[in-house]
Amino acid sequence: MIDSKQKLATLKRKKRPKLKYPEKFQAFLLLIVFVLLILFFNISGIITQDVEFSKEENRSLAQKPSLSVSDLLDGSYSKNLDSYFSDQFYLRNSWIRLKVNLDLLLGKQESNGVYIGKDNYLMEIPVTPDSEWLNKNLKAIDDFAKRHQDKRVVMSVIPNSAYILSEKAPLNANVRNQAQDEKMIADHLKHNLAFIEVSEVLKQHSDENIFYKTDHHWTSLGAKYVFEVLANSLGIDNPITDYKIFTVSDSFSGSMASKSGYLKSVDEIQIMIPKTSNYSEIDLDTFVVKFPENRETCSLYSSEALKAKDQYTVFLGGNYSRVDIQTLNDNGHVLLLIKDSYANCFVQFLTPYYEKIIMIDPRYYYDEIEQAISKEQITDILFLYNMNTFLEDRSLADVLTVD
Amino acid sequence: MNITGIFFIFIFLPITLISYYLVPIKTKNSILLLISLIFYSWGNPNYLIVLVLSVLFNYFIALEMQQYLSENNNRKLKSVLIFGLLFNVLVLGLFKYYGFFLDNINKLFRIDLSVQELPLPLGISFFTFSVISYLIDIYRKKSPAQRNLISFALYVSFFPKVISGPIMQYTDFSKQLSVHRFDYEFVGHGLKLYIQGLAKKILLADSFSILYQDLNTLPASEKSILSSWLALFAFTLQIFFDFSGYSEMAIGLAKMLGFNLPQNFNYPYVSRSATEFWRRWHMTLGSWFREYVYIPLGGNRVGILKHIRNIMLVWLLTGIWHGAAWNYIFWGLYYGLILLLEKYFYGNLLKRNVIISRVYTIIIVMLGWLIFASSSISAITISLQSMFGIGGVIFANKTTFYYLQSYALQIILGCLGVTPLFNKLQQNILQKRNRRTIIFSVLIYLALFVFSLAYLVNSTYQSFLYVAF
Repeated sequence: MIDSKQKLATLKRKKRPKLKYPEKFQAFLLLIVFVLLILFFNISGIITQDVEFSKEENRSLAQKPSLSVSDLLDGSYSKNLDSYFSDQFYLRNSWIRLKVNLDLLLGKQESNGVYIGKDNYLMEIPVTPDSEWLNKNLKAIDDFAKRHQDKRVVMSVIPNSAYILSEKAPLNANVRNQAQDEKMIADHLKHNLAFIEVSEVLKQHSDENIFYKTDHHWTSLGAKYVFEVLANSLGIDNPITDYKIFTVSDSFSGSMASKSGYLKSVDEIQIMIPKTSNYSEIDLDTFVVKFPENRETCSLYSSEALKAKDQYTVFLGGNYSRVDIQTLNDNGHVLLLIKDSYANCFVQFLTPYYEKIIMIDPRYYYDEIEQAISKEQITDILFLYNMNTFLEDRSLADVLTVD
Repeated sequence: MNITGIFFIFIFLPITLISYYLVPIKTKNSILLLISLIFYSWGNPNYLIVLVLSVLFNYFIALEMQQYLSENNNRKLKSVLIFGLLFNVLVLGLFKYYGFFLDNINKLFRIDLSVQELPLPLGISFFTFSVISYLIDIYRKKSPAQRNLISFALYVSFFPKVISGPIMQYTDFSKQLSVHRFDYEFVGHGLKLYIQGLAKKILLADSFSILYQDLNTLPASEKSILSSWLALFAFTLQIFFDFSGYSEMAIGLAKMLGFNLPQNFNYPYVSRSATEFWRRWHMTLGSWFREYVYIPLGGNRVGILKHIRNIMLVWLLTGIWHGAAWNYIFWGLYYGLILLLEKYFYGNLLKRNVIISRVYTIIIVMLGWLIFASSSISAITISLQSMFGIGGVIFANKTTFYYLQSYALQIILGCLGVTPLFNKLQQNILQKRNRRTIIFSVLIYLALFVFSLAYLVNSTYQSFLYVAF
């Protein structure tokens, strides 16, 4: 038995004589492989049509640059050609996935400024504040609150998922302590407005889906928990606790997935509708929502958004300089909501208690805020921000300051 | 043009190889010159004027020198050489050091001459050194002047080496100007070197560059002793894999066209002294300075004082050559000093113990890179303070471990990559003369190429978030 095996082995060895010129063999093989690769990718590139838009990256891809003397002379033609070849490279998305997977294999725990956490959680990395702008904003908010002491002024800043879900953050990642940031902001502002800290309550629910895995926003559930904490300060006595929950998407691949290129999971999006006395299963479109340029809808939700890339825009269609929401209530309460995109999914919890809600996003707002406040007879003001956006904001101070 | 770009690999290189090997023998050098000029002017055609003027000027200067050589007119020969050298040095100085020079004049005399920044023509430091060596070699009768303008222009602008070297002496190049026929072994071997260099640059150097940037920009509160050393180590690895990777790609590309370029790196980080390090690091620059500055000054066959002068001068120039800034000058002088110390004090001690001499060398080299990479003296002191724990810096923290675990594999690969290990493995595979192991090695090269490509395609990856956060 052993003999025959040995014989077989020697036979095999005899069949394959040693190479005379190993260098030549290697060079030959390499050359063949390389030529095939070049041919394959060039031919595939020629026969497949150029892609105009990348859904994964949410941007238009570079197109074949047109040749002009001026572009050739200032070097922009060659630059454009380089991005064209990279953007339109055959199977681009697979190459990007390969790169992200190689990075993970090598032990990287972040990609393009996104933490790749446990259980496929993708998290925005908490930022270090730009102290000059932060102090400007804090002072502007404080002055603003002083000017409006006749009104109810409330503020909350929502920490990011990397801090709240710290046990999901990458191993040894030095996640900024956003509760300290929150405390610092509270200390600055608590004298003239009601600053409500929310880190603790969100931490208590950190085992629930209060943040999306693939997006930098919080979910309706997270917003609900914060609403429950804020209700009292907003003067809402008997907040509704009964909600009708609809899952409107199970294919949400959010901003963090795009930014990191890490596409291993998708999220569900839920909307939560408070069961008010006039709540009806059939008719949910009981609002007048006014957008800039005289566009009007009658729902807080945009169903077209679910077909688009950024499905989070299902909440009020995304960010606009100003959105006015007229409800069926007649109670004299008018809320001014000064906000970033975190507030978009928070509004659904506020509508039962106000006659009108005016949302202003200072990043796109260029009108006089004080005029709006007196014209609309604002009674309540809520600042609602995400911590990262707030710490990096450069537009709040300008909008709030009166010259 | 960037030799690590997708356009270069998939379009420019194949077109170059096909046209070069298809055209008739007599036109091969002209085609190669044309390709080289297109390559050079790709990103910014304005630079081309400087290159072309340099080629023409030196071509005629050399012919003139050849004339005086044949007439045995030494006086005129020398004055033409000096004129030629001065012109080349002035052009280099004008583009590279003019801004730096005026800056320092302004600071010194507290005046305010306006500095008009001149764009630095690509590779000017490299091709200027090439033509200087050419003129001196003619003067020394090492080789006759090239009468064929195309051949000479090709020597200066040969695209694999024009931007970052290796610096090639004219005599070595001229031997290869007689035309090459297609030899698949040469092309395949060149390809192998190119892929090796590409992988070094894309998979290692670029990654170490990110690590260095990240660690270097950590806020003071997050720095630790270990992370400061890691930052410097990352830079040490980055600059080696970047530069030696580029040289390897250049050598590989030249080989695909049938040219041999000189070796530029010979495992410098396993050296046993700084003196040895400089025989293994950027070898073509070192030998240029030895040949055209150090030895003409008398080298070490002079008295001690003159030798010290020679060494310090050569290293001052080496520093200045690397860039118009004080950190490069200090870096050059630092090596001059270390080399003198090794020569006159402890050089022999280093020969006694392998481990001590290697550790000594790598520390000297890393401190050198610290000077090289720092923009000011205060930046150097800040780095040194955190490296040696002065001012209450802790040994290691969470952030240190975060970066260590994120880069551990690449750092290990990098440490192995600075030794001859992979090259020995290569040799072993070839010596086995076994088909399967060779096929296996080709698959590894394929993987390295594909992995590098993934990073190249990814370089334009960016995602535009919906109008906001």
